[in-house]
Amino acid sequence: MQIPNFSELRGTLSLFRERPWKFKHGFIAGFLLFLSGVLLEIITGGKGLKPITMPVNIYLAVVFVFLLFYLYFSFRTHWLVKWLSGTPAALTSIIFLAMLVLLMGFIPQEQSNSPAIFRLTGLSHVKLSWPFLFIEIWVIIGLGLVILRRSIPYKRKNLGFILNHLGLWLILVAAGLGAGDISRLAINLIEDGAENNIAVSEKGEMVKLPFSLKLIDFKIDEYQPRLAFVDAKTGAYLLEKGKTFPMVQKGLKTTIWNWNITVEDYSPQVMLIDSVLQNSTLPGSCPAVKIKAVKTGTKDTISGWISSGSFNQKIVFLRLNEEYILMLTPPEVRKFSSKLLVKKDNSRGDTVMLEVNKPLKISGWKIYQAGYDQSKGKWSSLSVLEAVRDPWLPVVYLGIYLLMTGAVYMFWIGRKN
Amino acid sequence: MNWAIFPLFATLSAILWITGAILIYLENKNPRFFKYGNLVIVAGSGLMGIFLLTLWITLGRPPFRTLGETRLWYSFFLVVIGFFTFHRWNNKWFLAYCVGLAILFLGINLLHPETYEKELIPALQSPWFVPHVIVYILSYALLAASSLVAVKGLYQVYTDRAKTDNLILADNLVYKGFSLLTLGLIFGALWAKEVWGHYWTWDPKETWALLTWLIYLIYIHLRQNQPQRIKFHLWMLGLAFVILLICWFGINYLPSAQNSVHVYAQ
Repeated sequence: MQIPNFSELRGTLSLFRERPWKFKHGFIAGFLLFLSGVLLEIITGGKGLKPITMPVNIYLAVVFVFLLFYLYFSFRTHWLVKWLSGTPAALTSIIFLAMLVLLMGFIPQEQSNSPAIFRLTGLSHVKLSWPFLFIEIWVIIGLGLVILRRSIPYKRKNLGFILNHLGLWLILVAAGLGAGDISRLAINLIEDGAENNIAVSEKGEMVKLPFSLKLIDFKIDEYQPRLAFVDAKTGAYLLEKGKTFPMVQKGLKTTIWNWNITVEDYSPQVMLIDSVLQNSTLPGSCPAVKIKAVKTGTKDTISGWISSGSFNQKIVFLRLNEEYILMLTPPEVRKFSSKLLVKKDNSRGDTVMLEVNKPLKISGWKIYQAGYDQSKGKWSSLSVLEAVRDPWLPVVYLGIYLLMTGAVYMFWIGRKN
Repeated sequence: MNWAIFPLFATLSAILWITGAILIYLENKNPRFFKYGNLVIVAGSGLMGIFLLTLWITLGRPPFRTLGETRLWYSFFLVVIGFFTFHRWNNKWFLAYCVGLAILFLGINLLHPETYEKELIPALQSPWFVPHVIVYILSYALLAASSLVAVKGLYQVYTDRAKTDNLILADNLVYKGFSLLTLGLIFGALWAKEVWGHYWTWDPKETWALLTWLIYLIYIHLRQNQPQRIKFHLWMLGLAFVILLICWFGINYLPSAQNSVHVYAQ
């Protein structure tokens, strides 16, 4: 049996008696924080944390800010407060934070099938794990103290420093404490369906909204389809190196794999009726083009209509020879939007347009165009909206704007000395 | 104007950039070479700028959608940064490095065009698209430049000719690059709020972008703490750039990231 080496242990202990603390103490402190976080995860069965909600998070925020001020004003010269707000602690805490983010970058997060070792240690749900919480608290304490140290008394030369650090601190604190108060609800609307004020949460709970929505019209704009060459044996797309399949338009002339192709006619909406493509406005109609293909240097000519097909339409293609099939790709979506009737209280309602990248603000909620029935594509009569509320957003945005100003300042000034 | 004439523009720009760099190097022989060199480099960049602009117009969308397109911007900005840094710090080698790297990226584009046209999906049709990508590409170019300085610095350290002015230059490039990295991250977050309803969703690209940001943050604090440990800091700068490259290209190969909008069209 090996005899424990007490002198080594004493050595480690005396390391902690050293003053002031330095870089290496940061590494040990970070490691201990990480380890105790992992142990807590293991003890609690790797269940992770549940985000706190109002009003608990507000109380916590107030207590935390009060404690920071108290620590700073009463213990400013204490070695631990000095160390926490110094560069060695900042550096080591960022290193541990970066390490956790690195683990997040490699270990798939929030997957139901993650290996037990990751689930138990919290590494399969880093952002809601004890180790992450401990390291983040370390970061925001250090940041908070150093902001106070540099702000009191205020000096002009610290402006950039304060903007950057205070911005980051606000973002971390508000985003961390506020995560539990974010509501994201799905609203499913059917064209010409009833007025709806019920949304569904991520957990499947029904939530009543303070307004109602009615879908008047759902519309998808599409790009033109492209001509594509397909391998007649494997069905794979055959693209010439450095080239693209051309978008069709009437009169287009192009050469692909030694075939001269002319688009003689283009119909944006056709349907296959009795084996013939006919112009149509029925659901499922798809674009079609009339093609003339001539093999270069020969008189081999093949012509006919091809169409891209849809959820209820077969694809119509042209076989050029044993090698090549010419077809039309399904058109890609350019834009999708919902025309909505919005009613608050007992008002007559307003008609508004909602599209991707242009959310609406209604009674404290932000409404997004989220999706539609993808199997029906252009002919979907379902529009999926998302209603989002995040009461902490103004604080996070304040932090973001401070950090942005700080970044511009930093770009302008550069490194001093 | 389209990709078909790219080889012509790329070759002409490359020739102008190389000629300019050589002329500037030969200024001792004839002082007028300096002026001509500058003009020729500006002409090369102007030509590339014209190509980018017309590509933008013919595609009818900002050309940031494919890896090939981002490499074009990268070459363009590398030379611009090299040119301004050269005038600020008077280091010819740096200009030559930037020209070399820019030509390398043009060369990759000639060999692997990866220029397949790609329609803009609705999520990307936003006023945030252009500032978000431009700021990031500029930032990457500055940080690439800082790691070039680090390589030179390390070479000098290992040949016993350590100089601190390398690190001062590197620090300045990192400060500028890092502030743009911050802006890129912020623009991305503000855009994400408009398009997906939340400013941060831990999408794999976001995770790696945050990691890149944190690594440079570590470098900056490291420099504050122990400015004298030159060799260590130079290595650190090299490592940071590796993380940046994973974030830029590596994401395309991460299985967990296949549905991300940040996976560029290949």
